[in-house]
Amino acid sequence: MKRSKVLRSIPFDLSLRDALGERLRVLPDDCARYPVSGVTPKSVALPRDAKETALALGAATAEGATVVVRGAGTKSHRLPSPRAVDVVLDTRALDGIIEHASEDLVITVGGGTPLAKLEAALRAHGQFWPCDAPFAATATVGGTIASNAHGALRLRYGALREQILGAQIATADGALVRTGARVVKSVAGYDAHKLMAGSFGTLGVIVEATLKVAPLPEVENVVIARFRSPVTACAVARAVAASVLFPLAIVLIDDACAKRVGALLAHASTGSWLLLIRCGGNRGSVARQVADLRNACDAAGADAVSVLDHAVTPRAWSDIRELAGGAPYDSERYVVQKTTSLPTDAPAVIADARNRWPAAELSAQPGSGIVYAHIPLAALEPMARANGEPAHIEPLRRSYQRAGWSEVVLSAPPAPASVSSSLLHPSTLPAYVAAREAPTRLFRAVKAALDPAGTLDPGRLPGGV
Amino acid sequence: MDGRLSAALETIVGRRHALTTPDEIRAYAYDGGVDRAQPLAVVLPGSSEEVAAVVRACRERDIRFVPRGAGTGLSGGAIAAKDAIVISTARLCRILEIDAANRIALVEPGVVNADVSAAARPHGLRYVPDPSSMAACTIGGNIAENSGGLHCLAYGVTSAHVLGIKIVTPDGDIEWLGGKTPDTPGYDLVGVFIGSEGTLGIATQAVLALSPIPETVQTLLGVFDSIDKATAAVSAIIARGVVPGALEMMDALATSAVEADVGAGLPTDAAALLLIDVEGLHDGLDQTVEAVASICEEHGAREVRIAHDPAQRELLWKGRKSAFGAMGRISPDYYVQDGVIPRSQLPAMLRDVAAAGTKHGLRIANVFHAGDGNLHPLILFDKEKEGELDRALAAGADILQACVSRGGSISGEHGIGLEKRDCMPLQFTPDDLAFMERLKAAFNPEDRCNPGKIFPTGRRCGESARTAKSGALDERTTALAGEPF
Repeated sequence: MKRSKVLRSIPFDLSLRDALGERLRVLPDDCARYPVSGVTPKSVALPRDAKETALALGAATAEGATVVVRGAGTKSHRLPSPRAVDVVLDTRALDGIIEHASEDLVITVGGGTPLAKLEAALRAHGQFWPCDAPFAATATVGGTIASNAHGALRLRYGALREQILGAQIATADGALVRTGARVVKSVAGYDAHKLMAGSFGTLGVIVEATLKVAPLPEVENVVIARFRSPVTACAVARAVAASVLFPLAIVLIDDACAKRVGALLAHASTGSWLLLIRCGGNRGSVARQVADLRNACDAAGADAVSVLDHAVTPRAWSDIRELAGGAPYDSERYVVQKTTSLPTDAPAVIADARNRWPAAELSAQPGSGIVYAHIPLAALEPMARANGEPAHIEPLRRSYQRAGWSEVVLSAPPAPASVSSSLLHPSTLPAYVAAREAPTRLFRAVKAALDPAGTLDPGRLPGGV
Repeated sequence: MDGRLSAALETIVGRRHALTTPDEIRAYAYDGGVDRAQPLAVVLPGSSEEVAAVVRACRERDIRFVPRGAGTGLSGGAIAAKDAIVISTARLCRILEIDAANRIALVEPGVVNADVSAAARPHGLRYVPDPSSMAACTIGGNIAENSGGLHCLAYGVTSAHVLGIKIVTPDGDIEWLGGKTPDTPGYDLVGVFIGSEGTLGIATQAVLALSPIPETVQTLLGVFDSIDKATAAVSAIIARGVVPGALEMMDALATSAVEADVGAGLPTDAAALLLIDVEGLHDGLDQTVEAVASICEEHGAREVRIAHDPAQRELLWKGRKSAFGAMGRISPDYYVQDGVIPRSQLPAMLRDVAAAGTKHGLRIANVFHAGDGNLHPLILFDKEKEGELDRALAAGADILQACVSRGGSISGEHGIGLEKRDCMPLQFTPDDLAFMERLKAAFNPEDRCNPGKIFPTGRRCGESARTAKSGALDERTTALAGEPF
């Protein structure tokens, strides 16, 4: 009886049920497990393959229902709260290695494939997907692409969109389309698969992705240099990034972050910063990189310089990677703000974040101009009370525009009941502040062209897209 | 042309920069490919604002327009199909800023590719994408085609090296996509604009990423007695996880043309040559060189030469870079294809290429980015001989079909343009193409900006456009040997 009542309350349920059968869940207990920035959806769709995904989207569009796409849910609190969610579409059944052309350094996987599964399959062939995406233990490939969640390896390997060679996309009107190709180079047609990076499931569902992979370096070391000043550390980072040493990644973390990584505990010191430089290559190359980096850090006045060798680097980096990619240690208790700027502005961004949120823990990719502030919710609450809504944000918003920085909320928990101020709710944090006027007219046109009915999570991206 | 349009254009850009007489615009009917079409007029704006004003003037009069850089493209992308004017970026040729501390350059689209690296070199930096035409082609054209190059194997093609693009939209608005900083909020339109072949708008400025110049480069020449052995060596190098800076192949026919042209000292009796750059720090480089050399030897290389000084290396690469132009030594005309296949399929694919030549009775030379699996079969023909152009186009279509059948793509870096638009259905379904058309409509709903490109017209792949009654083209002739590609 209860079930039929639920059915009646959801007008789109019947056509979706046609498409999905038992893989459409409408019971409150099921729905409660899929909150979207604090909002419980009316139903959950669990398509088993590309075809079902497309059918579900087509049915939702025909019925005027809204759909939020979700992988493992590690970033599902990232955007402002939606007004309502009719369907959460869980992609995790689109899981599997479809084709690994290992001798060609190309792999094709289902969009719901866990990163961990992808990485294990590649590691068996001495390869990896060089994105260093955070939430490595649980996130899916599709969710990682959709949220453009990449880490510090971009210094050497480039943006995440460049690691995607092609995709099969389920469109809002229920079609299945392919763009790109399963080869390392293709300019045939528009690269719509690259547009998926950072689109948060608002333009289509990635049911299959073809990825460019790289050989694992023969040897990897991490040089750890401790600095008292983040300004000095950032200067070293920039010099190293522009040098012939060509490291894989450069990460800067404060002492609080450092204490969260087992392998760095011994190196952390209160009030100090650790510059972590990941080097890769053959034995001779890495030995030279390490030697030169030691010299450069010593010359810049580092308090201490040490090296993680090849045996311990992979495990240590799996923790560093999370910090460098902006994953919160505890997504229920931290807000993560990401600020991007010119690399030369990174010290100013760091100083600003320190000033703004004294309790925040900071991590950065100083060679790329990215700073993360991990802000404890508990610290935000009294600030909000003291300052009143959104007083502490507005002055900074103005200065950010002047400085040409952009800022996004990377992770924010739904406001817990104990926190009364709406300031803590993600929807009231600044969605973004950009240096220039963002091309929101084009954003809207792209959204309207690919999802004219507004099925896919409308209204939550910058510009109200 | 409508006198009022030419008056409006002259008002915007100045009389000197609006070309309307047949003599002035003749050169703009060509690019490096096989298609030809005369534009209505050519304008050379001097700023983003002038570009926007020209675009708005065209919109008001329902005139279409085609952006154009240096015209070195190989697929007709910069040719004015459908009675359009050409908007040349030739006067937008300033390097506005080299910001070495942040490893970026702000440039206008008419800047020649090689000039960016030249400006960055004093800072120990370079702009990585290096198409063979780098001495002539421009950044705007590179963005339109998502150009590759010799060193894109290790570092990625153009899209991996562009952070932001200022564009004039087909409506005449000026917008920034991306910027100087990473991950600008909202959709990443940079990735989709790059490679859109001038159909989504006109780039008027770009923020380019600069990369450190490697400390050392060593160049190897692998000499093989069979194409099969050489291609197997390429597959093995990639499969073993060695990623050279560049990995190029030339067959005997290409080598003989190059030797006749520049005399780079290449062995003309070999069936295939591999030209390989290994770069990085001094330390450990010998180990990589040794690994590459021994893979070549394992796969039956008759000889592996290592260039020990920059002069030797320059000479080897000069041979490779001049290969397209050198075809003039052995054939009146050629038609170059640009398919891509998985690198593991190279040996079989090169046999397909040879078979296409035999079938159509034409010689085919091969000189290509082997490390990327990006073929450049040069189909040799004589346009004065009845039917040879059609046979060359048919051979090209067979090769593209084979690339798609082997899981590849019909274009690796030259673009679709006019030349391959009717080959798109080989690779994409009607649904795929409809999705791309919708994306296009978001920027360019009336097909006013670079009309008639990329999307199929309903003809067969490889069908000569000049035989079609209603076509964009008034004429279809042949590529000019000797152009610097």
